[in-house]
Amino acid sequence: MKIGEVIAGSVKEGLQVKLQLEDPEALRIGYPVIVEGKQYDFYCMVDDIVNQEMDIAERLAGAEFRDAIIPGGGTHEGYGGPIFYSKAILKPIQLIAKESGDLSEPQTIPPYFAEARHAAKQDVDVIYEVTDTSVPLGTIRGIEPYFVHVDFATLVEKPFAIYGRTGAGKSILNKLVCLAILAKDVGSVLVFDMVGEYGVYSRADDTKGLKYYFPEKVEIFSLDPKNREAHPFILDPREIEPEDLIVALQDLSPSMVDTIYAVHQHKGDRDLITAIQQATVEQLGETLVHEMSLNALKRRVHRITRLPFLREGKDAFPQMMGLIRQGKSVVLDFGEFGGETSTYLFVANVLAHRLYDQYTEKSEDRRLIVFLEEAHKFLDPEVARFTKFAQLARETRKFKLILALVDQRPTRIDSEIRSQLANRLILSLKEQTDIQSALVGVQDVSMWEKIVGTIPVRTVAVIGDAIRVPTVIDVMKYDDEHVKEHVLGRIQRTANEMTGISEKARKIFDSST
Amino acid sequence: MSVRDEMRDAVNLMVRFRDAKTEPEALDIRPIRAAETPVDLVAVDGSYTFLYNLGSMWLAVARAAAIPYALGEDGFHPRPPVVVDRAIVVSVWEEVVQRQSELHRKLFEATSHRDEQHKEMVNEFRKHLEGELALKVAQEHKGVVVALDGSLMSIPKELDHLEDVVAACETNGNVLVGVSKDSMLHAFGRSLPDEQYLAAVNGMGYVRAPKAFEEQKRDILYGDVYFARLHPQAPKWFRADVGTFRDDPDFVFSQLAAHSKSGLSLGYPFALIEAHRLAVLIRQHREFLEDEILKECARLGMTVGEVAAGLTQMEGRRHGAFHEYLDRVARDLK
Repeated sequence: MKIGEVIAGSVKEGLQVKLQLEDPEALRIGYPVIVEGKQYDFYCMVDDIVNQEMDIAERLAGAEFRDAIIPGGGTHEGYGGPIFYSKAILKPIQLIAKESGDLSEPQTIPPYFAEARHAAKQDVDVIYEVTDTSVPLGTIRGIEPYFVHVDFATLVEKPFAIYGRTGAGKSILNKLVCLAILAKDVGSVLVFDMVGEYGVYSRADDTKGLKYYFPEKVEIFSLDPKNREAHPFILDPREIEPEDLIVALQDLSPSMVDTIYAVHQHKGDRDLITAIQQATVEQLGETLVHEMSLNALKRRVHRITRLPFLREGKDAFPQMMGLIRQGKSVVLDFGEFGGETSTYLFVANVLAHRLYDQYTEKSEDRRLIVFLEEAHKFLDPEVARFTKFAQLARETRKFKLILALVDQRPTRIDSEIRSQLANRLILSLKEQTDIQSALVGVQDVSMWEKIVGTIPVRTVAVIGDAIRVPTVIDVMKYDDEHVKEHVLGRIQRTANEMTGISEKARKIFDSST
Repeated sequence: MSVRDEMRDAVNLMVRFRDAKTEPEALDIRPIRAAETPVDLVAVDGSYTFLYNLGSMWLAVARAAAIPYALGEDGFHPRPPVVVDRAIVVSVWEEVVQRQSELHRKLFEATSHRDEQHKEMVNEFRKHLEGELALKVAQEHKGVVVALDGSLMSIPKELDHLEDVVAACETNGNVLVGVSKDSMLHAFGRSLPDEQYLAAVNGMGYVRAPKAFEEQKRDILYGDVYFARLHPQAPKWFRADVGTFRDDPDFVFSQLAAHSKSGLSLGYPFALIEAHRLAVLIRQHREFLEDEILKECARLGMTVGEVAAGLTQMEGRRHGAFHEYLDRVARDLK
């Protein structure tokens, strides 16, 4: 459907379109629009919608008419369309050659009066590739119900991020991304499940988790000894490094940090925690530690020592790695410790440490994507130097260990780490600094700032090499119907359903004989 | 007597004239009820602009525009407009005119007694073009209102097509009206122009001009002269000449009133505003048209100075003429 004509434009600033819509509300920021040039179709996104200032509107506003036709977008058409019209500012994203269908970057503009229309399915079919490893995350805004595919093999090649403020839909999107990775088998995932969302059912809203849809592919480990259905998670204290404590106990003073390293140097065969508990100033020497710092450190370390999963025994990490090598994914359920940030920081950092060593020194074959919620707590510039996550983000893509950051405060993530991200899935953000941080390095940044600042919840801007063009997507509903139809695919559903059907058939057959 | 004394006397005289108590003729104001299902209205208007001056010759372009409008409950919707653009060279030098066409000679003769004759000639040419287009509209449409900008009076008669337009409208059952945006008539015999005189009359209605006035103009007038307020909130009464359906002015004004309900132009047909906007667009095309002139002058071997000196403003004055310099000085000294 035609929506208007081009009245101005530049390659840098985009195109201005005089809208012929009765109601500008029919168009929204981020909608895809096609401008019909002579040689190319210009695939554009709506950057802004404007009701320009008009003297006549100013004069008429507030007037009381009796038995008159009130001036408005639809009531007064002139020789050139509606007298009162809105304008759309469009940003060309791709050129589609009319004859060949070839795609190219927008390096030119269409002529005056080129027709602008809503993008149709056949337009976006050219833009968005469906590959063996692509899965839709939802529908494109403005042409529902067109499901836009993201290539998950490309997505998991390099670190990526899911940003969004609280309540914007990060968890649902995160689940869809994990399910898509598992469905296309482009890697295994490791999820730190703080509130029990990713297992069989979500403890928060009873939605289905990763293990529900992939019972054979997902293994759950639990920090909570009471959880008998999951593998017990045991962490051998001998594996604890100074940095693990520094990250876990984020309120350490510089002298306490020095004390940890001093103890580490003198710990001998003991594990670090035991060494700290047993340390005295006399043993370490007054030049290295102070009495007050040591005592304060002992009090803080006590937070860690009371954790029941921190004990000598069969360490869970080798077991996890064995499962990952078999192509399985791991959900680490924090159980009753889910509300303790220090426990999360501690466990995640210890595992990161080990994963880093494992992948860089032993060249693991199976690609692993580590989902790191509250990423800023590990990657804040103040903390990042003590964690392995910064190194994971920077170095490990060549070792098949990929970091997926999940966060609501991108501005608090170290800028160097942000610059390593090849893909960004950005949900609604409100803080301007967060919006700017989330979009650093993106082309047409001012357009994207407007989009990210105004999109509703459960709508995501996908920017990066896993999608042909940056796109705003309404995240699909997270329910059985959508997940089975669009994420798991027909083959998976058919197999599951066939199992159920054969089971039913067997019962009927048995009862009839 | 000083100029101050003269001014005081003049103001006294003006007020006395205004308050002169001649016996007023009773006004027979008839009510108007806007048509509920109005017929389409085709509005016709024209415009012109001068472009180039060479000696006693001026080059101008004129445009006539017609735009049909359907009016429904959801507002005003136009059909594709018709636009006619024509270029013309007018001269006030008889030797040149004699070597031009019959039309040029008629334009020259019809305006020979007027000031700034070149402007009058192009203006008459514009009316001629409008008349041609109005005739085409009257012939091609049936059962519509044909609304022309201005009165239904023609001077000189032989240049416009009003007589033929009336005939075509009668044949095709079209209402023909001419609506004047501004009228300084004193048809009601008052010191105030009729429009101002009627301003004190509230409400919506129409009134016919005195017969005596029409009789005076009968040889140039193609219809009956009315004044009408076409909407209760209209800012003024407009002169509206009715060329057909003269025996049923209620019907004519009910149609006009329906087309005058736009909040943008209460009491004035919206279609005439659009026809006007379309017509005056020719003035915005000046730059493009000037380019053509410059190219042709260059091809003819004229010097840059000669060409540039001949480019004019809309009203035919040369750019850089001495009066412009004086205007600027006057402005700067303010």
